[in-house]
Amino acid sequence: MPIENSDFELDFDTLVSAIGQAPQIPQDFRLRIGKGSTIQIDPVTLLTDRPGVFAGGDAVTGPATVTQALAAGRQAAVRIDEYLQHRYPALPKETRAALTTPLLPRTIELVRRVNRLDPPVLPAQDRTGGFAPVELIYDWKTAIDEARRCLRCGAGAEILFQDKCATCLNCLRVCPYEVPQLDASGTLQIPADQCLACGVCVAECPAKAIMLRKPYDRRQVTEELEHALRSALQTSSKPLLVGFCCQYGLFGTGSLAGLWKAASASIWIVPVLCVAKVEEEHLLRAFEMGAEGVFIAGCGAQCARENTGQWVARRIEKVRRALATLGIESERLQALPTDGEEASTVQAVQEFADRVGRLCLTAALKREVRK
Amino acid sequence: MIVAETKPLDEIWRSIAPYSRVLILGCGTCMTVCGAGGEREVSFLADALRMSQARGGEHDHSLLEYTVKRQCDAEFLETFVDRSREVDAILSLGCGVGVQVVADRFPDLPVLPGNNTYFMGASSEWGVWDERCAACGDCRLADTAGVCPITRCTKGILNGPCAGAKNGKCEANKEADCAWILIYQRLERLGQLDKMRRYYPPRNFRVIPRPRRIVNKTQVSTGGNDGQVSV
Repeated sequence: MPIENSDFELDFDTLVSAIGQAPQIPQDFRLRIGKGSTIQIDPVTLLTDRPGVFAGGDAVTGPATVTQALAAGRQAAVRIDEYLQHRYPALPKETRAALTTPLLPRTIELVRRVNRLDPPVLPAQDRTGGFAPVELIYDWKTAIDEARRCLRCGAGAEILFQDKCATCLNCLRVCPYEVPQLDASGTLQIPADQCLACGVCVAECPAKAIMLRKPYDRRQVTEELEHALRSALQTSSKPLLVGFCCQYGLFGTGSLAGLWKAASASIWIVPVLCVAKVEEEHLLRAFEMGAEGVFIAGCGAQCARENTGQWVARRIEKVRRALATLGIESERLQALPTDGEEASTVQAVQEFADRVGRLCLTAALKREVRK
Repeated sequence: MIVAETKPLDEIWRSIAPYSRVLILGCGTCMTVCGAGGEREVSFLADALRMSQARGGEHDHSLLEYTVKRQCDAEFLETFVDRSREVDAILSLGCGVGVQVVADRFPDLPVLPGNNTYFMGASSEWGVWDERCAACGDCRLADTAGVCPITRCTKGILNGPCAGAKNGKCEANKEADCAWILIYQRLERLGQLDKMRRYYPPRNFRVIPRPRRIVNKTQVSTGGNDGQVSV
């Protein structure tokens, strides 16, 4: 779009152009300089040749737009975070797609097959009478069930700390999809692109050497938990309940949130992607930070994976034993049976809240008597 | 490998009660593999103790967590000498060997065992451990087709089977397979049943005075040998 009167001529003796045409990097920065005086970086990690120094923006690309420079800054922040936490940089989407290989036949065989749900259609006799769409939309529950079929392939686990790995073979033995393999040198490998990110091995690794790359690692469960507890302690005087609930299922919709406000306890939900990712440590920490009761609620029979309930039961059992020896009622920790129905889930949570309420009362009375 | 189990939490509480700052020390080898004292167990124990403290309010301990690659070699213990100065006691989640090596390295600190060490064994499936070797120092597995009667026979008899096996199981321990029936079956398969008919005299336990020591060093000459290595 031409701007009127913007085309004019003026006379000058000297003209200094100061529009950032080329970066001038001071010598004492000791950085490798390349074409057009720009800083040379690793395109993936954004690291310069000096360890711990990152670069981005016009100083790297040469003159470009402000938007691109801002993006480089944001990207550098992510890379620096990864660098400080000794994580591999997450690759850009295109590279990731190229690295992802099709699942092995054995893995596919072991994945639970859930059939596609077809959306309802308008009955044939109603179609002739108007212009209403023939293909109708899913209701809430069907939509969730359909979405839950996705297994987020290629977002897998990985042994990130080989030096910590004791080669105990737990991951190889517990993986429902037989993904971890021993290579010829006796080292365990978890091909991340074969992994279905169920998280069982992450919790079962005794050396804490396995991490889920994306989108959900153990750190995030801990962060969510701490956030929930901090907010809970500020807002309520009712006994606090913490629930680890599967985001894939009913709990992901948020349709239950309102109902819990009416409960006799204050209930805080820690969203997890599949309850198999909840570790003993998370349960203990919830109690430590003031929860009076903790429950785990997954998707029951609708879970897209096998044996999730068994892992949850095992971890609950271990923590309950610890609670019992420490003089805390083990009923305060429970896995709630859920069948994916809103009404029965709310009822189960309510019953659990009542039970914990009674336990709190008894405990308080006992304390008084002792005094 | 060595198999152990974490002690009950109340016992651990009692043992650390007199010390306010405690370092919980894990071991990255056998104890990690058998799930009794790896990094995960160290943090589980620390979390459980902290939780109990937060709720009960009776104790006031500060707990440090650290896991070394192997507690039974003193060199690995040098990595946390600085931290050890900040604590009043070390709770070791190593095996009995680890606890002693740690105690040896830190003569001024009480070193408490957090595990009960049970045996040398193998895992037959995920999470199940079976004793396989008694470290008797006089291995007879060649005669018994690779099945150890000292450990796997409840009675430890060298000339079996006794008359008490029923449906392949031991009369004294109905969970356990009769080791001598396993030996018979394997010898039969290998065509070496004549070994069953041989008599094995009682073992001489006096050959294993305790504590035992093995010296297995390549001796390096320190002079007069032109630096040549002699074995």
